Amino acid sequence: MLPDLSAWLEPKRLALLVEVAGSAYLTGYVLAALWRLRGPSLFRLEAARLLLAEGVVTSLSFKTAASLLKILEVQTWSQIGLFAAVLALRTLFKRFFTWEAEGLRRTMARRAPP
Amino acid sequence: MGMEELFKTITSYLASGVEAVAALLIAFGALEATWQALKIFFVRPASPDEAKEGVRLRLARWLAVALEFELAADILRTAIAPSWDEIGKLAAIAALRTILNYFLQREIDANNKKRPQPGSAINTPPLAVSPPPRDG
Repeated sequence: MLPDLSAWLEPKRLALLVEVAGSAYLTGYVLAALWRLRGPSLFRLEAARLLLAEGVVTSLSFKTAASLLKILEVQTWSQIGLFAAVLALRTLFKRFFTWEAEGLRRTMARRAPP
Repeated sequence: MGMEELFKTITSYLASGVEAVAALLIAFGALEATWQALKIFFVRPASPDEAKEGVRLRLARWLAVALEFELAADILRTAIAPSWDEIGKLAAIAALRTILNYFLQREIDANNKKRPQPGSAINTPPLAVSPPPRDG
């Protein structure tokens, strides 16, 4: 008898998997940024922030995908409202971090660290 | 269901861990700034005002890094906000941190433009003649 795979293909489960992937991705970037903070380099603080901003932007793409999977199953108005709020929050975050990453790249391009 | 509960627990710990890192960075930045300020106080440098400005700016840069970590923690938490109350608080805190980050960056930028110090490890150098390369 084959195991029942249908339970694993529920949107909720898939959304959870994508959400976990996004969180794992962000965690990796957080660790990388932490590692980037050591040493005497001139722009290390900015480099760490840039790493974080880039990780956040990609991770938010994962999380948007997870939100879209989750909306397949919402039923009540409260759930729809919460979904909209989370989606709006994530979209605004993404805007901000994209803007910030651009600024940091400009700052660091002004002069390469010696 | 068990899997989801596990994910929530892990994410919650993870977010707290990232916030702890941010707290450590703030503590480190503040201690460093205190140390530098004491040095300026007891060992008068050639231009004390500029040195003080440098200390302030360096602290601001550390705070900006810490805020970035805190925002990352907030993003992890968006995955586990189950109620209006939680999501509202999260949005408010994230908005505050974002605004703080924005003004910190403006302060750092303004300072760099106002008083460029080539060769200084604290201030970012002035704009180069050629525009930075655009990618994409």
